[in-house]
Amino acid sequence: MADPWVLIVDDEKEFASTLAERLNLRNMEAVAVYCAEDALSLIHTVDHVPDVVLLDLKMPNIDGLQALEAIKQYDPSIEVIMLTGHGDKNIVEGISNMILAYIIKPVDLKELIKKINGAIEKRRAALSGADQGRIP
Amino acid sequence: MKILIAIQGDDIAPRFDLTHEALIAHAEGGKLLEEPRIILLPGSSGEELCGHIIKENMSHVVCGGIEDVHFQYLSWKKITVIDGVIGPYHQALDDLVHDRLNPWSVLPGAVQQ
Repeated sequence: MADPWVLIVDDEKEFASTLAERLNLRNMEAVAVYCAEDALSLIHTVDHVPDVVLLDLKMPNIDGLQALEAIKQYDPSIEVIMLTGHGDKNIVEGISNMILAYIIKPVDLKELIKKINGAIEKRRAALSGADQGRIP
Repeated sequence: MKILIAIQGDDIAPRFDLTHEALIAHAEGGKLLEEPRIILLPGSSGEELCGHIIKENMSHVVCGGIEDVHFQYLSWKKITVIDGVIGPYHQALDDLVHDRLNPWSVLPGAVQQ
């Protein structure tokens, strides 16, 4: 099975690239982009969409909520985990039906990996269920 | 003791105020009480990292270079700061847990740049 493909979207460049490095060391194919515009254009152009998107809530121009809506509209099977600060708990709880989970920064790597693995399992189970239901 | 090591990749971060990752460990009597965990910090600022260290009730901080203001602040808060350490963080953790880590140590495995 291919390595899980994780897209990190966060305007804090060092944070996003450090996170990508850490995930790449754990057999994930992680790519960091620093704005929602780049994330959306990447998702629209790649052959295989990411298994999981780690999406920062607060970003300039297109924020995390707008990006979430666009991602889910394009492919509802993509699992999204929101990255957020302490003060934004209410906002992410309001969109809990659209996201798999949220993580409050600073990010505990072990906790995040557990959530990513959960998201991947859920997505792959959903996709294999969809495949089995398909008429050959 | 509750330990925070400012890290960068596999090594101790050369600058406390520019670190984006930290290793957190809890040790007593020469043994780790739980598996150390890595946290990723949004942004990089010595003030924020100091705030996190206080909030998490750390007793020991290991780092490379640290600005005097941060060193003094943490010391004033009764936190032991072991600074100027160069090398792999796992070695620093092991040395600290066994009470043999000193400031300004160059640990085995340190990469010369």
